[in-house]
Amino acid sequence: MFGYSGKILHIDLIEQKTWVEGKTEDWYKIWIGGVSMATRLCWENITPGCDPYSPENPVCFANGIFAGTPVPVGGKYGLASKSPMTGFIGDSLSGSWFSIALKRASWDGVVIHGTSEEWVYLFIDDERVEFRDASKLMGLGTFATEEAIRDELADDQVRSATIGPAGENMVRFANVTNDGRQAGRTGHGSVWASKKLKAVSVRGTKGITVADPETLNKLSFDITKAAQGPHTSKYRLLGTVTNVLNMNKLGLLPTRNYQEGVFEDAEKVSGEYLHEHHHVKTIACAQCPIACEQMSMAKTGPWDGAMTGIEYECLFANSSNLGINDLNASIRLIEVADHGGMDAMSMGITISWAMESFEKGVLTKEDFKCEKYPDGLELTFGNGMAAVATAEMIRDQIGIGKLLSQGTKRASEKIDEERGTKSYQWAMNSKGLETAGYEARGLKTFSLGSAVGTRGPCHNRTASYDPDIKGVVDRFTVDDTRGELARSTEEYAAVYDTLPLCKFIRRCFTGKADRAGAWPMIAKLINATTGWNYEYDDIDLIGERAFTIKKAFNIREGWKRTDDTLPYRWMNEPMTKGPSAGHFTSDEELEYMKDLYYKAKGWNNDGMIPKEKLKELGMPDVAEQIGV
Amino acid sequence: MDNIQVLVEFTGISRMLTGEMEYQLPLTDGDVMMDVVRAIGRKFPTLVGEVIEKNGETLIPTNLFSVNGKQILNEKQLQYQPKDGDRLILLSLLAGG
Repeated sequence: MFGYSGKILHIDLIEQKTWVEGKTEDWYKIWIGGVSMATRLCWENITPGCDPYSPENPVCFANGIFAGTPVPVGGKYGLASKSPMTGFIGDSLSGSWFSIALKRASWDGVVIHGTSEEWVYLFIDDERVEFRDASKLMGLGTFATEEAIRDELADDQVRSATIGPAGENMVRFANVTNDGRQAGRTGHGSVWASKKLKAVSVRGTKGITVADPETLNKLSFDITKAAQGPHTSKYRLLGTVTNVLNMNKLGLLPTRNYQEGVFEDAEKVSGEYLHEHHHVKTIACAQCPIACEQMSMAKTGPWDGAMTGIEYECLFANSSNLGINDLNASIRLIEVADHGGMDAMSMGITISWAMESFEKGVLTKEDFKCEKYPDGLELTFGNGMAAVATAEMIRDQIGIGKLLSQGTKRASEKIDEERGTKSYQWAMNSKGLETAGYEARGLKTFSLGSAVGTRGPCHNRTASYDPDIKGVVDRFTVDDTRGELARSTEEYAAVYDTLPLCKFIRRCFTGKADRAGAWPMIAKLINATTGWNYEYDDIDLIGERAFTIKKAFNIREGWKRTDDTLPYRWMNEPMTKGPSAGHFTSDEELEYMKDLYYKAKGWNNDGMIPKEKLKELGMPDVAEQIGV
Repeated sequence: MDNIQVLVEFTGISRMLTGEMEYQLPLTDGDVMMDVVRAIGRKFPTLVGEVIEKNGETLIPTNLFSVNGKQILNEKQLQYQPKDGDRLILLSLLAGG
C-alpha cells in the first residue's frame, strides 16, 4: 500500500499495553484520513452512549494522506472523541510537525483507550510506545510542556500534542496544542485530562513511500509556486484577522455578546491595526508555503510582552465581542487561552455571556469575589482588566471560574435554575458549542449551516457563508436553494477536512476554488500518492462520506431533529444597527430550510439516514446500526 | 451626463497596497462597477495583479465590492451602476482561522 502504513496503533491506558490493528486498502479508500477517519475510528472504538469523561470514550488520531509528502499544506491530522461540550462527535483538526512525525513513525491512526491511574504522557518512538510519568509536567502550559518533553527526551525532533493547566483542571472547552497549533474546539483537552493524559509525543524516523514520486513532486512544485502568488496574498500579508473590518463593514462582526453586528471601535481591533502596532513575525505550519499566522505582542500596559499567534476567530471573541478596543488586552486574553490550553472562541464567548449577565444584574460583583479579588470584579463590556482576570479564573478553576469553565450552555442553565433568570437567551451556543464569528442573523444560508453542523455551529465545517457573503444569494432572505447550498458547502469543506488540506490552498490548483477547479487536481494528488484511480466523483464522495459518518455517530448518540437549532438570540432578536439591522432567522424560516437540507442530503424529514443511502456510500455496518 | 461621486473604501490587502483607507471617486452617471475597477486600478497600480486582474477590468475572485455594506457584488456582477453617494467597500474576504 502506498501513502499509508496500513496500521492503526491502539494504546490502553489502564493495562498500559498496546496492539496493532491492520486495515485494508478498501477501508482507507472509504475513510481517507483526517476528520473522516478519526470519526470512523471513534465509531468503531467507543461504547455508544458513554459519558465523554468515561474510559469508554477513546481519543482517536487520524493522520492526513499527504502528511510528510511534498504536497503543500498537507501536514495535518484529525482528532476525534465524543465531545463533552455537545455529547456528539467532537472532531478537530490540527497540523504541522506532529502529523509529519506520526506519519514517519508509520502510524495512520492512533486510538487511546481507558483511563490511567496516574498522570502520564505517551512517547511513540517509531513502533515502540512508552508510558511515561507526567508528574514533572503538571501545571506547565502547552508550549512549555512541549519544550519540557524535548528536554527530558534529549531530542529536539520529538513532537508533542499537549494539554495545559486548563485541561488538567477539566475546563470543559480545554483544547489540545501541538507546534503552536490547536485542535481547538469541542473540548478535547478535558477528555485527555479525564484519562490523566498530559501529552502524546512522537519521534518518527522512517520514510514515506508514495506511488509516483516524480508526478507528486511536479504537482506539488506547481501548487507551491501558485501558493506564493495573488491567490494567497491576503493570507500572507495580514492573515485571517483582516476579517474584523470586513465583517464590521457588512454588519456581521459579533459585538458585545452578539447583541449587534457593528463595533464602533472596529478599526482599533482590526487586523490592519494589529499588523501596524503589534506584529512580531509571520509563522507557517510545517509543509506550508503560505504562512498566515500573525505572531503578535502586547506593547504597552499591564500585559506588555504578552505574545501569541492571532487568528480572526479568537480575535473577534476577545475584542469586539467583549466590547474591548485595546488589542493589548485581547492579545493577553488569547495568550491565556493558548498557553493555558483553552478554546479561545468558547472562552471569549463565555466571558461575553458573563459580561451581559453582569450588565443585566444576573451576575454581580459578589459573584466574582475570590482570594485574589476580594472585592469582586466589575465585569462590564470593555473592561479588559476584568476580562483577563476572569479568563485566568476559568483556567485555574477559581471562584466563578468553575462555573464559566463549563461554557455558556451549562453556565446559563445553572444560573437560570438557581436565580430564576433567563440568561439562556444570550447564551451563544448551539448543541452546547459556542458560535462562530459571523453574525448569522445577516447570513441566512450560514444560519442553516450553523444549525445542522454535526459538531455544533462552526465556520470551518461548513462554507455556507460563502454564497451569502459572495453575492450568490440574497443573504437577508430565505429561498428554496438554501438546503442544497448548505449540503454542497458542508461536503465541500469536508473534503478538505478529510484529506486534510488547509482550505487556504483551494485557489492554487487552477485559480478557481470550486469543485471543477479543485477536484481534478486533488484526484491527481491522491493517485500519485496512493496509486489509486480516483476521479472527480470520488472526491465528492469523500466529503459526503465524511459528513455522513459524523451524522451517523450523532444519531447513535441520540441526536434528534430539534438538536439542529440556533441560539435564542439569533432566532428572536433582530439586530438594531448597521447594514444587517432588522434581520434574524425565525423558527419558521429555520424549519423550512432544515426540510430542504434533509431532502438535499437524501435523508428523511426527521433527519435520519435511510439504510439504502448508507449502503450506497459503502457503510453497511452503519446502515445496520442507525439506518432507517 | 451628470457627474456623481462615490466613496471607495479599502480594507485588508487593498488598504495595505494603496496606503489609503478611502478614495473619493468621481464618475459619470451611467458608469458601472467595471469603470470603478478600471479607475482605481489606474489610480493605484499596486492593486493590479493582487486584487484586480492584470487586464485592469475585473476583480481577482474572492475580492468583492459591497455597496453600502448591504448588497454584495462579486467579480461577475460588475454591471451594477453606482449611485451618487454610494459607499463602495472593496473587501478581500477570508475563511477559516
